[in-house]
Amino acid sequence: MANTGANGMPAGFSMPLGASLYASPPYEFRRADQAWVQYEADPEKVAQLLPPGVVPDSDPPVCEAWVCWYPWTTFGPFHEAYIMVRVVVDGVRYWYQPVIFTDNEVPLAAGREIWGFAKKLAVMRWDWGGAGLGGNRGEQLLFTVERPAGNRIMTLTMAPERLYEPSDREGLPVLSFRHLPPSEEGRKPAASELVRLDVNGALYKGADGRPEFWAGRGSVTLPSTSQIDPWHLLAPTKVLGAYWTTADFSLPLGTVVKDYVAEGYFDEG
Amino acid sequence: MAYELGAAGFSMPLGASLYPPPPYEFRDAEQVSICFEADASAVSALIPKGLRIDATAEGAVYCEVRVCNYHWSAFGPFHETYVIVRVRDDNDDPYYFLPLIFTDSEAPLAAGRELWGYPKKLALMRWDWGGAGSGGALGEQLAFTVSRPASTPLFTATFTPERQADPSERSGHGVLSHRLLPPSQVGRPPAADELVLLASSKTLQRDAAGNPKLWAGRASLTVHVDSDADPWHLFRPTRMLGAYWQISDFNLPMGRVLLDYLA
Repeated sequence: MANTGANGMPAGFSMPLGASLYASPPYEFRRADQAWVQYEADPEKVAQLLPPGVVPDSDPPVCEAWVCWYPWTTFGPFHEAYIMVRVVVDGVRYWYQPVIFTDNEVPLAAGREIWGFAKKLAVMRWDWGGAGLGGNRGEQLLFTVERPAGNRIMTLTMAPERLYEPSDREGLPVLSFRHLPPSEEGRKPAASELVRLDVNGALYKGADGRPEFWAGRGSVTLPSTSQIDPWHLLAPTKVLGAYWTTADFSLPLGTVVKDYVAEGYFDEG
Repeated sequence: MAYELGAAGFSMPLGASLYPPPPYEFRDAEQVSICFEADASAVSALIPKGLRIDATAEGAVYCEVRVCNYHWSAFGPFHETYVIVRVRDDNDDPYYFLPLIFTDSEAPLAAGRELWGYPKKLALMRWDWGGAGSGGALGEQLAFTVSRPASTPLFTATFTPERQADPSERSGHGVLSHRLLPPSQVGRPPAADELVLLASSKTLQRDAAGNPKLWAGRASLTVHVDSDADPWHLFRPTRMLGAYWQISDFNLPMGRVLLDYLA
C-alpha cells in the first residue's frame, strides 16, 4: 500500500502523490560527460529568445552549446543538449538557458516543473567513434540531436587537444525562465520567474592527478530553420573554443531572482 | 531587446512552446471504460485532503480504468490510460478523482501535468484489436497492455463488444486532479497545490445507421505488479461491473480550481 504523508496528503514530492515521478532535490550525477562549444552569435536573433530584463553581457553575444551523456543519475541515465547565452540581469551575470532537450521523462518533468528548464524530448547520440561501435572513425566526439527523429536540429563535434586549467574558466550560475500556465481562465500563471541554479560539482582526475578538463577545437551546426524548435536563432557566427569534462555534481533547488507575476507583468490592463 | 510576455508563447520554452493554449482537440478518439469495484481502504492511500472515498457499506469503491487510443489530436497521436475513483468533497458533492495516468507522448505529458495536474508518466502501451495479419492477438477481444518500464507488464485490460449501448447508461461526474507544482526555491510554497475540475463532454460519433458508437461488453483487468513506484495494484478489482467502448470527438479546455490548498 502507498504511504500516507504526515500532512494528510499521500506521500511524495511531485505528482502523482503516492507515486511521485521524481523525489525531492538534490539530484545526483556521477561520471557525467559534458562537452561544449563557446561561440559568438547574432544579437538580433538571440534577443528573440530572451525574456524581459535579460540582456546579453556583450555585443556580439557569447553563447555555449552543451551536450551531455549522463551514464548514472538519480533520474536514470540520459542525454541532454542545451544552448546558453551569457547575460546580465540586474547587474549580475549568468548563463541563461533558452532551449534544452533531454531523452528521459523524469528530468523532462523535474526540469520544467522545478527550475523552468524548458525541456523537450529529442533523439540524441553521443559518439566517440570507433569501428567496433559502429561509430565514426576520427578524432572527434560527434553528438547529434534530432527532433522529431530524422530531423536534425544540432550537430556538435569536439576534438580534445590539451588539458585546460579549470580556474581559467569563469564560473557563472545558470539562469532559466520558469513559466507555468494557470489552470483556470483568468488566473495568473502558477509561476513566471527567473530561477538561478548554482551547481555543486567536482571534476574527475586522470592517473597523473590532473583534472579531466580538456580544451580543443569544435563545431556547432544548427541546420533546421524551424519555428517549432528555433535553435537556428542561436547559430554561431564565430567559434571561440571547445571543451570536455568528466565530473560528479548535484542539482539543488534554485533561487528566484526575478518574479514576473509579483512585478505585475500579468496584471489586468 | 527581448520578447514580450504574452506574445512569445503559452508554455516553456517561450519562443518555442512545447504546447499552445487550450482547448486541445481530439478526433476519432477510441476509449474503453472498464467499470469495477476495488478495496476502498487500499485506494484511500492516493486520495488528497478535502476528498473522501465514496465507499459502499461493504468497503468497496466504484472505479473505472480507461484505456485510450487517440488517433488524431492537437498533440499528435498517442495512447493513454488512467484510473478514476468515485469520491465526494466536503460539500458531499460527487466527483471522480484521477490519481494515476500514463501517456506515451511528451506534449500531453507536460501539458497534462502543468495545466490540470494530470500526474502523467510515460509508459509503453499497445492497443491491439487482434488479427493475424497485423501480428496481433487472435480472438474476439481488444487487448490493451501497459508496461513501465519497458518489458515489465504493469497491467492488461481486455474488452469484447457485445451490444449497442444507450448513452444514458453512462452518467458521469466531473473529473478532479491534484495539481502540485513544487517550489523552485527552499522555503517558498509550491507554485500550485490545488484540486482542478475538468468537466468536458464528449460527442459520440455515429455509425452508418445513425447509432452512437457506444458499445457495452465484458472486460478483464489484470494487474501484474505490486509496485511502490506505480501502485496500480491498489486498484485490483474486487468485482467487475461491465465495460464500454466508444468513439468520440472532444476537446479539453482549461479547468476550474475547486480547492486551493495554498489559499
